[in-house]
Amino acid sequence: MAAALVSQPDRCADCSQPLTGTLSPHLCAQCGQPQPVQPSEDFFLTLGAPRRFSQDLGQLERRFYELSRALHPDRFPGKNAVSLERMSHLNRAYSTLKNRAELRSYLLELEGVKVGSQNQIPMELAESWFELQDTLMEDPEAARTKLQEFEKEMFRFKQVEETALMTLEKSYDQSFAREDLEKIARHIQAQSYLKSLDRDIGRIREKVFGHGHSDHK
Amino acid sequence: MAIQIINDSQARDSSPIVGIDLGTTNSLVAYVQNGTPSVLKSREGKHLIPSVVTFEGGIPVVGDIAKRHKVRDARHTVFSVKRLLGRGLEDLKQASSELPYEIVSSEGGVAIRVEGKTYTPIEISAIILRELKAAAEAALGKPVKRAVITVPAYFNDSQRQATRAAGRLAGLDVMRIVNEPTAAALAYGLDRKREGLIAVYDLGGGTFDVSILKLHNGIFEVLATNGNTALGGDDLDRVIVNSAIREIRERFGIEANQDIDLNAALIEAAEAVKIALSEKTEAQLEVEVKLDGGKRREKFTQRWTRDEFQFLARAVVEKTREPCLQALKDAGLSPNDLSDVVLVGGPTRLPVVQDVAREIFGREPNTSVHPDEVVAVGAAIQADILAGNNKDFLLLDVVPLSLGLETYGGLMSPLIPRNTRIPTVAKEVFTTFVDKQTGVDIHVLQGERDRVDDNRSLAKFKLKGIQPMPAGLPRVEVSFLIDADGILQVAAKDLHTGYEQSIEVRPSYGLTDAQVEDMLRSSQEHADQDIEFKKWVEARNEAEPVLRSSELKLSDAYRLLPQADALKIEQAIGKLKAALSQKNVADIREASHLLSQATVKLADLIVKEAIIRASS
Repeated sequence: MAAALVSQPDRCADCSQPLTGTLSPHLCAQCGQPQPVQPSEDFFLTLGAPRRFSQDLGQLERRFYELSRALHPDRFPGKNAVSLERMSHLNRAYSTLKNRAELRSYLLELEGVKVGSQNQIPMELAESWFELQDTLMEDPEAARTKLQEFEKEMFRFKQVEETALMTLEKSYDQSFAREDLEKIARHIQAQSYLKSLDRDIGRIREKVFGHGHSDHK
Repeated sequence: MAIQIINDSQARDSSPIVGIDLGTTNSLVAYVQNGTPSVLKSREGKHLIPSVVTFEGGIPVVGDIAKRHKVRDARHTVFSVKRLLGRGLEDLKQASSELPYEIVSSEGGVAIRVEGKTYTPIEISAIILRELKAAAEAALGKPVKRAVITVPAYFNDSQRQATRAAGRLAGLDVMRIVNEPTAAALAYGLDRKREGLIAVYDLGGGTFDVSILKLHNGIFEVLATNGNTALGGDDLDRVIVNSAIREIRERFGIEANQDIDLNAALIEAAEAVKIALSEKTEAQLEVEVKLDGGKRREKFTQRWTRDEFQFLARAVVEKTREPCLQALKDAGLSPNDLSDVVLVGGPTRLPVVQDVAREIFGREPNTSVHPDEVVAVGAAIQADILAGNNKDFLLLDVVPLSLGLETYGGLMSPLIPRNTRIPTVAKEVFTTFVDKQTGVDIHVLQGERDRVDDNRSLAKFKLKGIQPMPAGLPRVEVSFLIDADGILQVAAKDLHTGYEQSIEVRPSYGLTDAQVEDMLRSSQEHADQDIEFKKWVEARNEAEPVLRSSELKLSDAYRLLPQADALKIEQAIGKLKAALSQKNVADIREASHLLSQATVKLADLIVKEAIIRASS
């Protein structure tokens, strides 16, 4: 009995009729008014999508279009603040669930798994990175080859990381084991350093190849 | 309950919503009647209303009449004002040297000085919009108070706000600001019921936009947009003007762009050459050059072949390539994924523009839509959607430029990346750095660059009323909401007290809502003065010919009429002169009427006398 009392609001904020039908909790089927977004309504609930990493993109798009048609501010004359809030929420939900990296961080956050940030280079890359630094000081000419080698190594590292993440995500989607989420968090943490590494590489490339050098081949 | 009543009355408002394309060179107004869109005719019977405003005795005149003044009366004639809308003087160094009218710095941006009076670009735009409103009212036979207005997709927040303010100032409730390429896609989709991925390549008079859209079952979803708000057909005229200026300098040793009249004449002649060259292979530019301080005049001509023009124009049109490639990249697509490339805007009639579009997208571009009218038609379709008459179509658009905040070290930290679907919201929690600090400065920026100074400053404001606490403890959540018009709204909430703060975001280059209301009030007062003035001019124009011909015939009157009747005419002349000098409209009308009456018999006698003389 107590559980029923804490369930999310199930009556229309405008006409107080029960919220039912395919457009709940977005819209009241009785009076057609959009409903305020409750704090408990996460992006998965918004789009009626399973709370997991693997998503059916076609299904997501169909639901997004269907809800957009019903909720968009264009459908409500004058300034309808609730429609604006609903549509903003829907837009954010859709772009988050559509994007692998965003979905990853979002699901971890939702499950209360923290991702720290890393301020040192991943172990796997450390040795060649320091070698590159040394060569850069001693022999800038030789650094060119070293840089290209390092970039290749980093590319491979990213691929291995991504494969590992995908395996973990598959595993989580079947077991919903918290352990998998924590492993994923550690991988993301390791990757967080790669962004600053990318910037460093850019600077080195400019130094050894000169300005305007592009890496498109 | 009060809110409910307002909603009901808005829902029931059945007054028309028109679609307006407020262009750099031309403007149009369109309307959808029973599902069929059509462009409404101007009061001169044309679809295109030149976005040109001239001032006659301080009274604005818009459209074709004003366009004829562009050369004759360059000092009093304002055109391409869209290039100035929502911008500051620093952005406009280049434009202001190319435009023959006087641009001055003014609070919140720039202003245009005509005959000692200054007008903001918003006011000039409002004058054009008022003309469009009047044209729509004449065409539809009922008052028009609501409109959808289009803007270039790449317009930033300041430019959008300025457009909305101009609409308000013209007495229009701006129901929605729509991006021009998106509007064009809507019109394209209505006609053809096509599905798939399309690119809209929209080169207007002063702006370039490219948008990539997905069309699916009535949904028009913008995937990415890009552009350049300082690139357009005007720049193609410019290559001709610049070449003529060089040659005039060599031949006559004068600086053509410092002579306002000559500069205006060159701009007009260049436009004619450009248009002629899309059909013919040769054309000639011709202007009159004043020498020795106006004492001597000489004709200057310059021959142009299509090849010469295309060679120079190409460098300008090439600037559309990068935005197109970036938009494709942002949408995650390659040109092969597209099912169509739609060309929009007058300048896309030029072969050189079509060539560049063909090269960029690797396919024959679609030129089947009406390049001048398609945007206005799209705006009218969006107006019809907002009126609740079209439930099949829906536009889903994006924000063209990233929105961010200034962070420590003068860097921009993006909060809402470009091409994010709108409406959208981003929240950021702010705290204090010093104990007992009660305010936090927030600087909102728009753009894609890292350094603060390289981006557009949208607003600076201070979060006030934070409870004095040790540094880092206060938590103020600021929400940045971009509405369906692509316009920013800011709200703040103190997370400790739950107290909502209202923030007035003063646009950096625009007007606050309060300023617009003030101007609207004063323009309504002025409107009455303007009407009075117009009536006086009309009465004067009617009275003066009557007066002149009567004065000329006064000697005939004393010869042909009884003394008393002739005296009556002379008195009536005196009365009309007095009424004219007092500028009293009613008196002028009356005296003019009396004078015509008094001279009826005289006119009759003069005609008879002439016939007798002729026959004898």
